[in-house]
Amino acid sequence: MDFQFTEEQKLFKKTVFQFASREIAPLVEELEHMEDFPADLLKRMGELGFLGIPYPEKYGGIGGDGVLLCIFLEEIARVSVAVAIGSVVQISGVAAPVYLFGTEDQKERYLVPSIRGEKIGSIAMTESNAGSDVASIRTSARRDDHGYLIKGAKIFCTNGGISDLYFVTAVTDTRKGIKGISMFLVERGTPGLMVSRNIKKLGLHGLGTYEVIFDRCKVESGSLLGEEDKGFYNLMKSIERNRISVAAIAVGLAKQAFDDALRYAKDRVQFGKAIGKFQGIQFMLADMATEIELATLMVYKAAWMDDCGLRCNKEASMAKLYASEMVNRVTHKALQVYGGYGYMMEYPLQRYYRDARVFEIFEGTSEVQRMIIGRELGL
Amino acid sequence: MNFDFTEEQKIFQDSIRKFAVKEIEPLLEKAEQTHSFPLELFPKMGAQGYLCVTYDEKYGAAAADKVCDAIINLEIGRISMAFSATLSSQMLSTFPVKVFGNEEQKNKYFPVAISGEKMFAFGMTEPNAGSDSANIEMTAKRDGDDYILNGTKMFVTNGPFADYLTISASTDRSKRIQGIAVFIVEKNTPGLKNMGGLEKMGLHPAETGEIVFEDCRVSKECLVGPPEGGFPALMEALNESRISVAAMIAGTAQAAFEAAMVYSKERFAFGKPISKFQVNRFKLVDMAMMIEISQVLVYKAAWLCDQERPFAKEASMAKLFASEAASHITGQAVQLHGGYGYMKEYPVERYFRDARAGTIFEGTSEIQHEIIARLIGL
Repeated sequence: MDFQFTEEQKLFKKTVFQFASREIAPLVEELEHMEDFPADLLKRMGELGFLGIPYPEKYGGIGGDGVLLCIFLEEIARVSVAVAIGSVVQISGVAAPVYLFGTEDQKERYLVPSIRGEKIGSIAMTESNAGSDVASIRTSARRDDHGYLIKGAKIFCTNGGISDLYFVTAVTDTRKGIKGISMFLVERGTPGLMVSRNIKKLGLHGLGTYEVIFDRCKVESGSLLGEEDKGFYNLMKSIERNRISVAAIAVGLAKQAFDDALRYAKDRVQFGKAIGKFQGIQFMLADMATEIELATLMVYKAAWMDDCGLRCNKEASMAKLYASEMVNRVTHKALQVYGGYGYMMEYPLQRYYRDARVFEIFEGTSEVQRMIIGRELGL
Repeated sequence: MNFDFTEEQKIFQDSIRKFAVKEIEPLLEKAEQTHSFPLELFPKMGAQGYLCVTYDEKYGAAAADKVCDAIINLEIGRISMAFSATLSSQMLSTFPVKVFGNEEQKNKYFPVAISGEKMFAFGMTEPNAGSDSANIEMTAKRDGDDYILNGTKMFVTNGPFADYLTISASTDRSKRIQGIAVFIVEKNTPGLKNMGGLEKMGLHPAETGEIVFEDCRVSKECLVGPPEGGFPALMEALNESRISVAAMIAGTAQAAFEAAMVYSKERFAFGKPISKFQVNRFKLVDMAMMIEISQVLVYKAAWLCDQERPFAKEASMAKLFASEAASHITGQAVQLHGGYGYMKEYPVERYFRDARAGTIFEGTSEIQHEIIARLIGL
C-alpha cells in the first residue's frame, strides 16, 4: 500500500494551485454574474497543457493518468467549481469519447484542437423527458443520402453557448431501444443546429447551461462517432471516469469550505472566546475533516483502480455518491460556522453551498449511483 | 499511490480468514451462551503468530506491520467483535512496555503475551474516570522498594481471567495527569480482588471485570517506565489500538452487511425477493459504501503508522466513522431481517448489540471528536 502522492504529483498539484490562485481567483467574482464560461480561460488552460492531462503526447496531451486529473480538478475546484466543471466538460465530455471511439481523422480534427483549447466542446445528451433514464431519449438521427438528419431538442448542455462542437446522442433505430442509440459530433454552424436559451441555475453561475435544438440538422456520415447503434454502451464507458472527476471536484470544494470555516472559527470571537473553542463548533469541524478524508480516499482509490486497468464501476459510483452527499453536509456546516455572514453575498460560503447542491444531481443522481452500485453488488 | 495489499499481506489475510472460520467460529456459540471466553484460543492464536503481531521477532512475534494487525482484527471482527476485543487486549496491555519498559520487562512479558501462554488485561477506567482518564483516583504510594496500590478499576476487558493487569495509578495526585504511572500487576498478588465479570448488553464472550486494589503491595519492578509521566505511554498504546479497534468494528459491520445481503435475496415478500425493492437495495448500497470507506481509512491509518508518520488524527477518524457507521449498518441489517432480525436464531441482533459498544469503548465518539478537533488545530 502507498497512500501518498509521488514527488511529480506533488509538484503538479503545486503548479495547478499557483495557476488557480493567479489566473482563476481574480475572475471568480465576475464569473458569478456572467452565467457563462470564459472561453479565453480554456484557451489558456490548453496552452498550459491542462486540457490534455489524460491523453497521449501524440495528440498534444501530457500523458498523465486519472490520479493526475483528480489532482488538477481538486485544486481548480478549491477556487471555482464552475471553472472545474467547465474544464472537465472540455477534457472528458467530447475529448474522451473521441479518444476512445473516434477514427484517426476525427482525433486529428477534434481531439487535438480541443486539447489545445482551440475548439470548445459540449455534451448534448439530456432531454426534457430523459434525464436519469438516458436511454429514453427522443432525438432521432435518420439516415439520409450520405449522412444523417438529426431532429430533437437537448437541455442542460453545459458550455453550449461557447461551443464549436456538440457531442450528441440520438436514436438511429427506434425498434431497438437502448441498442438503437448512436453518438454524433455536430459542428457549430451546421444548418439546423440552434443554440437556444441559457437556462438560469441555483449555482454554478460561471457556467452557461443551454438548450440546443436540432431542427432537421443535416450531418455527414463522418459525424458518427463509433459504431452505429453502439452509442449507449460506448457512452456509459466514456462517462465512467467522469464520475470520479466530479467526485474530485466535490472534494476540492469541500476542502475549501472547510479551510474557510476552520480559519473563521479560530478568528471569530463570541462570548469572550474564539467560537472554535466551543465544543459544538469543534465537533462540526471534526466531522467535516473526517468526511473529507474519507471522500478523498475513495476518489483516489477509484482513480488508481482505473489507472491500473481494474474494473472500478462500483468504486467510481461510491466515490461520486459519497463525495457529493459529503460536500452538501460540509458546505452546510461551513455556512453554519459563519453564521449570518455565511448567508451574505460578500462571503463565498453561500456560493459553496449553492454550488454543492448540483453534485447530487449531475453526472448521475445519487439515486442512479445507488442503482449502479446495487447492480454491482449483485442485487 | 497504491491501494493494494502486498503479497505478504494478502497471504496473511488468506491465512487468518481460514483460521477464523476453522478455529474461531466453532467456539462462538458456546461463548455467547456462557458469557465466557474460550481461553484455549490464546495459545492457538499465539502459535500462529497472530498475537502482538507487530512485535519484534526476538521475542517470538511475527514482526508483521500494522496493516496486518488491522487485517487480523477485521477478520476476527467478522466472526465476533467480542473475540477480537479480547485477543487484541494482549497487545494493548503490553504496549506501555514497548513504549518505555526496560529490557528485563520486555523479556518477561513479551514472549508470554506473544505465545498466548499468559493473558493480559488493560485497566485504565475507574468508576469515576471514564473518558476523563487522567482524573483517576487510584493511588500508588511508594514504600521502600515497593508500591502500595489502592483503588478500583472498572470495565477491565479480560479482567476476570487475566494473568497480568496493566493499570494506571497516581503516584502523586497533586500533579494530576503528570503524576500518573503504569504498573503491571500479577493476578495473585495479595490485595488484588477480582470482583468477577459484569453483565453487558452485548460482547458477551468478552469478559469485562471490576478489579479492586486494597493495600496491594507490588515491587518496584512492576512499575513500567518512570514513577511519573506514564500517561503518554497509555495514550500511545490507545492511539495504535484505535486502528485495531476500528478494524474489528468494520469487520462486524461487514458481517452484518453480508448477512443482510444473503437474507434479502432469499426472503420473498409481495411476490419477489425483498432485495428487488429499491428502498432495500439502497439501504444495502449505503451499507456497502460505508464499509468500503471505513476500511480504506483504517488501512490508511495503519499504513501511516507503518511509515512512522503521525497517524493519530486518521486513527481517530477511522474509529469514529467506523463505529458510527457500524451502529447504523447493524441496525439496518436487523431492519432488513424484519421480525427474524430481532430473534436470537439470526446473528444480526448480536452484531447490533455488539456494535453499540463501538462508539463507546476505547474512546467514545465524543472523545474522538475532541482528538480530531485538537489535531486540526482547534
